[in-house]
Amino acid sequence: MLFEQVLQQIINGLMLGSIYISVAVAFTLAIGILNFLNFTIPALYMLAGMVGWSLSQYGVPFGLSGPINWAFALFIGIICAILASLLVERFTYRYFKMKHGDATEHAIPLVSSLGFLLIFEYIILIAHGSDTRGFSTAFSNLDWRIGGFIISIPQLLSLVFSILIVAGLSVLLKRSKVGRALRAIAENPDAATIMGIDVDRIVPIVFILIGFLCGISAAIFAINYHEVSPYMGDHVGTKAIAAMVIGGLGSVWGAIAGGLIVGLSETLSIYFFGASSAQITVWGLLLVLLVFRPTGLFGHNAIGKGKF
Amino acid sequence: MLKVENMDIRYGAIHALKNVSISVGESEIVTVVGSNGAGKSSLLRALAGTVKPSSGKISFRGEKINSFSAPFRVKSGLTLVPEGRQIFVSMSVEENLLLGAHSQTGPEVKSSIESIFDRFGNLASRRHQLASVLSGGEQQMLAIGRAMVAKPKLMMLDEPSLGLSPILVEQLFELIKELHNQGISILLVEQNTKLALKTAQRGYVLELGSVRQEGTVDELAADKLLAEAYLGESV
Repeated sequence: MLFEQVLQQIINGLMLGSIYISVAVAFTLAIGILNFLNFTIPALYMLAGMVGWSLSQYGVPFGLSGPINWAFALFIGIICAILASLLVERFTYRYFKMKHGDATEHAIPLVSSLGFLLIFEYIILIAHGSDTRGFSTAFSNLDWRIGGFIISIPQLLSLVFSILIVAGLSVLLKRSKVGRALRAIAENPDAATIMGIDVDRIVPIVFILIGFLCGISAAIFAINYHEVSPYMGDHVGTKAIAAMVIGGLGSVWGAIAGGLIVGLSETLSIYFFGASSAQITVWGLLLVLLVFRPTGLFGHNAIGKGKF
Repeated sequence: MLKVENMDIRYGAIHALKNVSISVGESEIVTVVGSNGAGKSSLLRALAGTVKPSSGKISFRGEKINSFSAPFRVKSGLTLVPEGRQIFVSMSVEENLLLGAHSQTGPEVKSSIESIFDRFGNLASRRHQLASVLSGGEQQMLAIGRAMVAKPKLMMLDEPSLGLSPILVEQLFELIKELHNQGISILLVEQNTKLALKTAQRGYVLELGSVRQEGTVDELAADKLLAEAYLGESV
């Protein structure tokens, strides 16, 4: 009986991991290609979910439309996350880099992205308050029972979908001209410029991907857990950072492994030790792993080298 | 082909280049020599568009290019083989060449990469290996091959012989002559003054950011002070 319950928790953990995968990959793209710990990522995730919920509940603001179909509302939420990500690129990355050059390489983009995180969060808090909101979609209670185990079909599809998106991204980075240019920027931005790569035109692609991954992940969360909140980004953000570090900084496939490991350890920890134990287990695991393998499971010694 | 007029470069309080004027003619090999810190690399970086000069005019093929971005300069036919090669060590030899051809499109990309492999057999046999496993000489060949696939009209080379054995240096200078014979103009920044003067037609001597001397290579080689300072010959 215990074995079956644990197995069920493992299934649940893997499904939960699918939420973390895309956000962890978003973090890993920012740090791997741009050497930039982008703190706005949790806010982008939250924006997609809350905008989707708001549109499906009330429609476009100022009475411009009535409530919108949930799927279309989530789609617009994803677009909003992408646009917000491009806004972050314009100000935290491009503007400050252009104005101050390498002196701002780490600190100013990092701190200003933290500023954007709080600004986005508080705009949503002012607009909709701090309550968790129910988000009903067409996918309520679609479970698949096999041999006493319950597998939520939307969750299973989400897991497959997340892995497919990341696999597609990996192929894009490996095989396409844009992917090659991104990897060149990751390794040596100066040499990339000398090769004729227009860094200012390519870098926004990273931010579009970041917004897209956050948006997709928020949509998957809303579909599977039927709720959104202005704080949803904070919960996922910390776990995704842990997933990225466990998988290895800058490794896309590492982010998948990290996401699944974090999801698993979270559900098993809650099952055995209660809800409050999850963060201790996840971050404790991370610290222990870093002692033995400082580069994470699939990471390399140097950020910006030998990735993807 | 290339004309630099009264160029100044400042890095904060440091005045790296002072009122420098140089030119490179059609199908010409021009060398810039000078000691470390003379401003040679700054000059090339300003021409490549990765450093912004504080004043002066850069013209390439009759057009003022000061406002051109670095990628647009590559597209216009001005390429730089940077100091220290700066090849992408996490990528394969072939991927490095594909990056060199980033500004190019169409089926010619493939054929120009194949022509590099035909020219450099060592690179061909390692086309799918990581560039990090190449020897210093092979890395330099890759760096030059990478610049060649961008179809340059003028290739700038920054200290290409640095760290290479004498035999490889000779091969390198043969390659530079070969590029020149293909109609590519060359701007060569070198610390190996002897070989640079042997290969080029004209040269400039940079000292503390200013052009101290210019002339044909014969004129420069005949200069006693220059011979003493850079060619290791006592007067």
